[in-house]
Amino acid sequence: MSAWQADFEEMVERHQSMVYSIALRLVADSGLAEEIVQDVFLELHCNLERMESEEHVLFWLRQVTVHRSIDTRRRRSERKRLVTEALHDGLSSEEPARASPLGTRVEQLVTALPEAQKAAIVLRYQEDLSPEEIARVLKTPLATVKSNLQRGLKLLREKAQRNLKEYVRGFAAEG
Amino acid sequence: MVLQQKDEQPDRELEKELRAKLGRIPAPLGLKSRILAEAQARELRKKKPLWFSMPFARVAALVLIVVLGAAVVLEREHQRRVEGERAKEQVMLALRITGTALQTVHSRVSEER
Repeated sequence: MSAWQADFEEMVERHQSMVYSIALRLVADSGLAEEIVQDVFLELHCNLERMESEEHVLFWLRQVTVHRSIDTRRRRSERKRLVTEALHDGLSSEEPARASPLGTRVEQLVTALPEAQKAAIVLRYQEDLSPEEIARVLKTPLATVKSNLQRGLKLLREKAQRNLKEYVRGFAAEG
Repeated sequence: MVLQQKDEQPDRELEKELRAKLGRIPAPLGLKSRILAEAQARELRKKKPLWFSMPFARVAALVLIVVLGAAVVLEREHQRRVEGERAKEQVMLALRITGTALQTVHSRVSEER
């Protein structure tokens, strides 16, 4: 086997969770997310020779995954799968049980964001990319990325506050 | 990097929450094996010659064989016919020679009488 084969296997091992997480949060469908992961890595396999470094691979994977996820979601009809289950299944078993409505709902709220804001939020807070890096990955102007991040946070804040009020109201009613 | 907002405290809390909750989700079991198997299968398919993997090319090859076989059979038929014609001509020539000879003999016998 060539050296690239060994590198490819290592890349899959190292980055499959990153690619899966981005895809799942953008398409909200575990089956589709798996298909996207497979497609992305098979495309990487065809383009291995063009990869110049580990950072290049990371950038390429994020970019292709986001665009592929957005395209997939647009092409297929939106199915409300049990994303919460998939997300909870994927979380570490050591994760402490959170009673806070904010803790259990944040992922759902992110999933429900408009496409552009969702992509920016996921890349910012899951991948810890700066707005400049996000602009390069998404091939959009920096100002647009910053605007999407701000709008996304504002929407999340408003929805979370609404949910918190409902939670408190419900808790009070039970009490 | 904290984005400038009117109410910075709630946003900081929200960002902290987002970072904590948007961690990477482990890929499903077996996904890596499926990817590697498919990549390997594609490599093998690349190595086979194109014509081998194209069904219609195999059909075309079969048709060519049948056509060549038919051509050979027809050629043999033609050869047989040609030889048959030649044999027939030789028989006709022999008959003509015999006829001429008989005519000559008949004339001589008639003269002697």
